[in-house]
Amino acid sequence: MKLFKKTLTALLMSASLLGVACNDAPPPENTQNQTEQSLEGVMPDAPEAPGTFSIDRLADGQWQFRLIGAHGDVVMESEKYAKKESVYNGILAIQESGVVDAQYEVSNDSGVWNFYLQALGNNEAIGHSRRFGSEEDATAAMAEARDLVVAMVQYKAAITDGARFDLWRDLDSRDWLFVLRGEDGNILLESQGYTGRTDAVNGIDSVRENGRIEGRYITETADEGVYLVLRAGNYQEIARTGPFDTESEATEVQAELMTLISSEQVANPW
Amino acid sequence: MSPEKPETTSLKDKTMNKKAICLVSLGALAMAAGCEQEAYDGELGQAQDEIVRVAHTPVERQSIGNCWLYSQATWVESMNLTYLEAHPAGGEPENVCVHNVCEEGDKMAADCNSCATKICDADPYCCETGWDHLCTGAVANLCGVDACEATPEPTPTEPVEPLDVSQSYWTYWHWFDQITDNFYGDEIQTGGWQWKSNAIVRDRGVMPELAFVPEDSQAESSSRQSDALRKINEALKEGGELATAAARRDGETVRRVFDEAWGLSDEVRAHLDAAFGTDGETTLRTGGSVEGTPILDPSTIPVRYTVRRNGETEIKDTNLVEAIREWSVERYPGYGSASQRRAFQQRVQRALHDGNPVVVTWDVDFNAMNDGEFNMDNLANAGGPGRQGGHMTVFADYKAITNSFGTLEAGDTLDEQDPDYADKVDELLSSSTEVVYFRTKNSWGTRDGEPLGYHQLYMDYLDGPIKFCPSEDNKENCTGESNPWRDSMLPPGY
Repeated sequence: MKLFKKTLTALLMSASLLGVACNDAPPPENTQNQTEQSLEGVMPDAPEAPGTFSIDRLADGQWQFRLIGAHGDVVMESEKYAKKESVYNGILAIQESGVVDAQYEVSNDSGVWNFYLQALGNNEAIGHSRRFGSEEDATAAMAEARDLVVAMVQYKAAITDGARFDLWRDLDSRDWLFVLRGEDGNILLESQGYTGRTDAVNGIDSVRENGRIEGRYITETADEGVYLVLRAGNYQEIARTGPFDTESEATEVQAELMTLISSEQVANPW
Repeated sequence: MSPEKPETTSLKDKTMNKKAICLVSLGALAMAAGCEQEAYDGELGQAQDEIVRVAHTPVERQSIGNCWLYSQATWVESMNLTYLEAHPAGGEPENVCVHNVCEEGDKMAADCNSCATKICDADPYCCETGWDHLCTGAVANLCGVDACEATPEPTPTEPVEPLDVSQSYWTYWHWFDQITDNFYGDEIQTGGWQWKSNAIVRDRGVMPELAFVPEDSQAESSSRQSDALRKINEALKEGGELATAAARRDGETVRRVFDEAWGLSDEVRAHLDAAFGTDGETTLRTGGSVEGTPILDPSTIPVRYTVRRNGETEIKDTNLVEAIREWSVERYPGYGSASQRRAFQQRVQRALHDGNPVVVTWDVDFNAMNDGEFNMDNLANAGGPGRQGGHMTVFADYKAITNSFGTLEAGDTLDEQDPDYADKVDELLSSSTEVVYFRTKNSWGTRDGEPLGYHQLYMDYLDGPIKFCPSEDNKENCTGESNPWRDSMLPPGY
């Protein structure tokens, strides 16, 4: 999570809300035709991709995918598959299991260190790292791999219109607010107002951290119905949703929220 | 290190071309107007007018949104050119392999020869920890069966030509990977980032423009890229050859459609087949080979840059793979304090003074541009934001105001024989100096700029903030502010 937070902070510091959307040549003067031509190729604003899964055929004819990160480095590679189609399944497994810390394991084979990623459910190895000279290096690389998978899952949610956080400033109150929307666009959680954008962004991060923990949810009954409230470890409210007609309805939503947030399939607003 | 000689015209031939090589060191004002036709005079990169000296190849013009590949090409070409200037007859890197690659032993330096580079690229353990049986076992596969008996790579006796990298070649593979790996949507995405361009270089190598799309080497802009993009996007639509998931997963089908869309010659198609298979699914890191093709293995492309260690600058001659590993992207502290921003600028200045091509990622607002200059006055005069987007280019020079020496103009020579030279450099790099603008080599052709093709990015603009209004249709729909200077890629230790 450290790398992810570092990346997050960096993104915030730069306030770069768009990815690398290359501009081509500026509009030339004089003719409409030239202007239209120059506008071709301008990229729509897009979130920054943190890495990629590269699928390759090996010299022995088998297939493998590699998780590529910064510097074009191979962060993790899969087991070998006979068919390319199997690789896609492997990538999906990485996206499901690779966001869970507990599925990673550092191992030592005759003084050579590396790490494995095991599939949720059957704990079969679905990916492994390169070799490292020390446990410390392998452990650090493992944390970075996990952060990269998380970032890629969030990126995928962003470019496939998946669940997302929206962040904006209310023009009347001047407060910063955020909501968590599901894939269907419906609001699943709504924040309190924050005086600063940084605080609101920290709130989003707090939803990601606390929203997967059952004990961080409480229900509150009001005249209009039952609210589901997400709180931080210090009991401060982060966000809420409702009202619901019944407590059991709120509990169902809580389960959905926990599943969604744990999957990391929620895009950032930047 | 002897780079594989590409099939390319000689430099003298190129003087006949529109894109003839002309070394535009920063502020090469004297060369600006004549750049396109400047004849090669045997003194590549020896331009005299500069406050810092970064070797640059001619300006090109992107025709689609792939500036990140143009900046990557500029970065590679510049480091290669700097190397060639220092080694006009080629030559090996200074690092010596401590033992044969086929013998187990101590870890090796990745840049001691091209085989060690390949092995360590595949398994960094070999260069970080020790050269064990897995390292020696990989030699035959990655370096060829004769690698154990190989004598040191010959030093070429003929001058080696500077690279003219084909951005089209990288673009081809960027799109290929998109479609065959994990494709979302029904249109090619042309944007990218350093991590992606680095992966493409390591997986697919480098191809000279003349060898991939020969017309690219004759023109400032590649119309082939925009044509190919349109054709491939057509193929992705319903009823097209790449409309189905099955077709997109089939590398041979994608290659066939691509080769047609790009108008590749039979010879080029054969080269791609030989290197990466007819389905394009094998890469240089998974068993592909450039042997017998004009494709250049990045581990054999010599480059020069500098590194900072313990406060000292060291020249490093190595290969492109090592450069990719070592350079890092650093965020500009746009929202930080003035001293934090100045400290970052000093790092960039120092890297430029040492001749390094610093890559910059920045936000463009075309209303801030006038007469080749991006500044806040222009933006204010325009009355509001204009067309916006992200951009990547490579710095070339800067203009600064110093306490003791006044304003030092970009394009003005800092004469090493000048008794004040050292003091000037010291002061330029001090915290009291104010950078007025950074000059960047751009990829928008040579229609404007000073010199043509180079733009002045004023610090007031780079610091911002500017309104962020991504919608083309509604410039009132601004969603926040941005500091245009996002980040820079710097050599190690800066």
